[in-house]
Amino acid sequence: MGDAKQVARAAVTGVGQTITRLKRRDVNFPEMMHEACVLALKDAELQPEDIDLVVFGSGPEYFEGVNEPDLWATDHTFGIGKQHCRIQTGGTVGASTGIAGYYMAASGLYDNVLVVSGDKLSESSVQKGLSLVYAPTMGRDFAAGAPSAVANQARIYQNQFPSVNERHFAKIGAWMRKNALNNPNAQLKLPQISEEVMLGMAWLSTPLRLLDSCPTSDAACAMVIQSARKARESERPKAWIQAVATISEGYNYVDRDWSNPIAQREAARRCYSQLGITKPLEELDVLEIYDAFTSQHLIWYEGLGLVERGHGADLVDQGAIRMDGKLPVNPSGGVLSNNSIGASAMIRQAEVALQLMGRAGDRQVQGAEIGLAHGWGGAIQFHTVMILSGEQDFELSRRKRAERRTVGAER
Amino acid sequence: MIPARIGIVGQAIRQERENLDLSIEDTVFLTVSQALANTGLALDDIDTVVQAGDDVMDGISIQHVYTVEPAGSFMKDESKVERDGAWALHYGLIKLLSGKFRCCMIVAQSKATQCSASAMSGMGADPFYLRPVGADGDSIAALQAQFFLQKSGATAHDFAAVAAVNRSRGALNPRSMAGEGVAMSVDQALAAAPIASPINKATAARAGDGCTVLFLATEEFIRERKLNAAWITGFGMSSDAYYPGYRDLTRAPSAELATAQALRMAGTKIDSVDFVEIHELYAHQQILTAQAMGFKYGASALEDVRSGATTAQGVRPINPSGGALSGHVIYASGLGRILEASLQLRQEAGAVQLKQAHRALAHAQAGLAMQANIVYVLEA
Repeated sequence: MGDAKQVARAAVTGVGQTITRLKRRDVNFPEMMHEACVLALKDAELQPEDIDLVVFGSGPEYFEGVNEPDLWATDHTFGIGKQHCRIQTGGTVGASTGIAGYYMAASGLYDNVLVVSGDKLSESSVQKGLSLVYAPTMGRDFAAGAPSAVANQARIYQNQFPSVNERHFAKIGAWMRKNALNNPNAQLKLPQISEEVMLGMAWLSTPLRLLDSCPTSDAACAMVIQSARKARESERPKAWIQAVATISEGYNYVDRDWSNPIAQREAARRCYSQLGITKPLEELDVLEIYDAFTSQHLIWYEGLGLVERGHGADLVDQGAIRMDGKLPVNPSGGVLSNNSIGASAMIRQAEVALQLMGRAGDRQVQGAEIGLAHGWGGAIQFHTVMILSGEQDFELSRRKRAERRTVGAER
Repeated sequence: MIPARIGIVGQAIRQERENLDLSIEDTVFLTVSQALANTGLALDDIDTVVQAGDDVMDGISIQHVYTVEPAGSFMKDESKVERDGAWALHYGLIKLLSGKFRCCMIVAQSKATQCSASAMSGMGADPFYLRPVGADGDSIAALQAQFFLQKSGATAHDFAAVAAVNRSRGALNPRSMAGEGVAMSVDQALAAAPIASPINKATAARAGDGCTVLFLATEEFIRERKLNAAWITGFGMSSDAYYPGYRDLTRAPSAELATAQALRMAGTKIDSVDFVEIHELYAHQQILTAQAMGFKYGASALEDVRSGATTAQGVRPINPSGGALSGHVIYASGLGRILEASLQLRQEAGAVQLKQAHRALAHAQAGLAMQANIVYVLEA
C-alpha cells in the first residue's frame, strides 16, 4: 500500500482549546464545551450553520456526574437540528472523537465536521471514577485509580530493563514542564522545575513521584475537520490527516505484558505501512503523545517504533526528544502539563495540527511538515494514532522535508 | 445519494427480562458467536467493530474494556458510541463509506436488571433544573403523553390499542422478550398498573438484559461471499433542545428532519415505504413518530391506529416485529428495530414476515422525550 499515491481526504482547518484550570468555576460542563466549539469555528472562519455534523466526546460519566452529557450539551455544541453523536472510549476519547470526525469528512457525506471533546474533572473525584474501571468482582477491592496501575506498568518495565532509573523520569518531567511554559493552554506552569525538583517530590506510588504524574484539569478541545473538497477552497493553513488507527488489546489476559503496548504497535504499524514510513524517528518532525505519567514516554517511544524495545531511555540520554532534539516530543508540555482526560487525546491532534500549520507560537518546531498524535486509555490497553502532514499529497510533504534537510546541510 | 452501496448481512439478538446466569461479557460473547454462525462469517472477516453501551448502566468506567474480548475486537480497529446501537451503526456505515474497511460489526448491549433504569435515566437529568424535581425518563415521557392527549385528540384508549397490537404481535415473534410480547387486549392494556399518568406498565417498554449484533458490509464483500443483504440507501439524524420546556413535546422536529434527510438521500418518498419499525419506548411515541415521519394512510397517524391500518395486516404496518414494547434492551433496542426491518427485507423474519416488504424505514431515539432521532431507509 505504501507505493500507492497517498492523497489525504480530510484536513484539520480549525482548532479551539479552552482556558484550562484545575477548577473552571466560571462555566458548567456544556458551557465549557461551547467555549471550545466557538473557538474552533472562529479559527476555521466558519459559522455554526456551516457545520454538517458534530461528533461529541467525553470521558466516563462518573467524571461529570451526568449520564449522556452529550444530550445535556447538545444546545451548547451547536447540535440542535443537526447530526450529533457521541464517542466514549475513556482516555483515548478525544482522539477517538477526532478520528470519527476524520471518517465522517472522508466518507463523502459531510464537508464540515465539528469535533469536540472534554471533561470537567473538578466536578467529581477523578480517581474514584477511574477506580470504577476495575472489575467489580475482581480488582476493585484494591483499585486505587490510575497511578497504581501505571506504577505497576513502570515497575514491570524497569524489571526488564534495569538501567532505566528515576533520573530518566525526572528528566522527562522537567523537560515537559519547561515546554509547557511556552504553551498558553497548559495548566501546570512550573518555572522552577528541574531534575532535582522532580527527584525531591514525595512518592505517589513507587517508582513514581508526585510530579511524574499529570495534573487534573477542566478543559475542552474542538477541531473543525473538512473534506478535502471543502478544505481546498480556502488558502488558510491546514493540517491534512493522512492515516488513522484505533486499536484495543485485551483487558487482562494472563500473559499480558503491560510494558509492551501491542495495540499501540499495531496502530502505528497500520499508519506507517499505509504511508510507507519505515523509520519513524527519521521521518517524523514532531510527536504529541499521551503521557499521563513520565515513565510512559519510554514505553510509548518503543510502541511507536522509534527505537527497539528496551531502548526508550536512549532518546532521553541523547536529548532527542527536547525542543532542539532530533524529534521533539510534546512541545505543548503534553498531558503531564494539562489533563482533563476528555480533551487530552484531542489536544494531541490539535497541537500537531497547529505545528504543521506553523501556528504553534513559542512552542513551534521550525518547519514541521509531518507529525504524529497518539492517544492512550482504557485499562492500559487502548491506543490511537493519527499522522498528519502539511501537504495534501503525502509525497510532497516528504519532498519538502528532504529539500529542507539538504539546505540545512549546505548551511 | 449515498456514495456507495452498503448492506446489512447478518445479525443475532438476545433479549430477556432477566438473566442471572450470564454476565455482560457472556451475553456479548454468545450473541457475537451466534451472529457469526448465523451469517457464515469468521472473526477474521470483520475489519472493524463499533460497540454501543453505557458506563452508568454497567457500573463500570469505560465499560467496553470488558467487552473488547468477548466482542472479538481484540487487536482490531475498534471504537464505541455511547448511545443506542443505531448511532453505532451510523459510525460503522461511515467507516465502510470511507473505503478503508469491508465488513463492520455493531455490538450493542446492556443489563437493566443489575441497574435501576429509573436512576440511570434520572442521572441523565442535568444537576441544576431537572434533577431537583426528580425528572427521569418515565416522568418526562408522561408529560409528553399528557400534552399529546390534549393536543392531538388521542385518548388513553389509543395508547392502549398500540400497546395491545404491538405486544400481541410480539407474541408471534420468537426474537421478542419472553413475558413482554404476550397477546394482550386493549382492555388489559388499559387496566395495567400505572407508572406515571397516563403511562402504565402496558404502554411503557420494560428494559431487560440482552445484546444485539449486526454486520454491515460493502457491496463487493457481499457479492464475493454471496450474502443476502438488506441495503441501506439513506439515513438521517437530528437533535432537539435538551430541556423539555424548550420544546413542543407533541412534535419531534428532529424525527421530521431525520426522516426528510433519509428519504432524500434514498431518492424516495414516504408513500413508497412499505412498513416502518419505530423505537417506541412508550406507546404514544409510536403515533407521534409516525406523524413526524408523515407515514400515514388516512387523515392522520392517529386515524390509522383507529382504523387498523398500522397492524401487520393493514396498509401501513408499523412495528410488525412487535416493537420495543415487546422487547427492550437499553442501548440495543433501537438497533433492534433496524435488525427487524432488515430481516423483513431479506424475507427472513419468520413468523412475523410481511407479504410486502421492499422498502422500510427504521427509527431509533435517545434522550428525554425523544430529544435525538435517527432514521434509516432500508431496501431489499
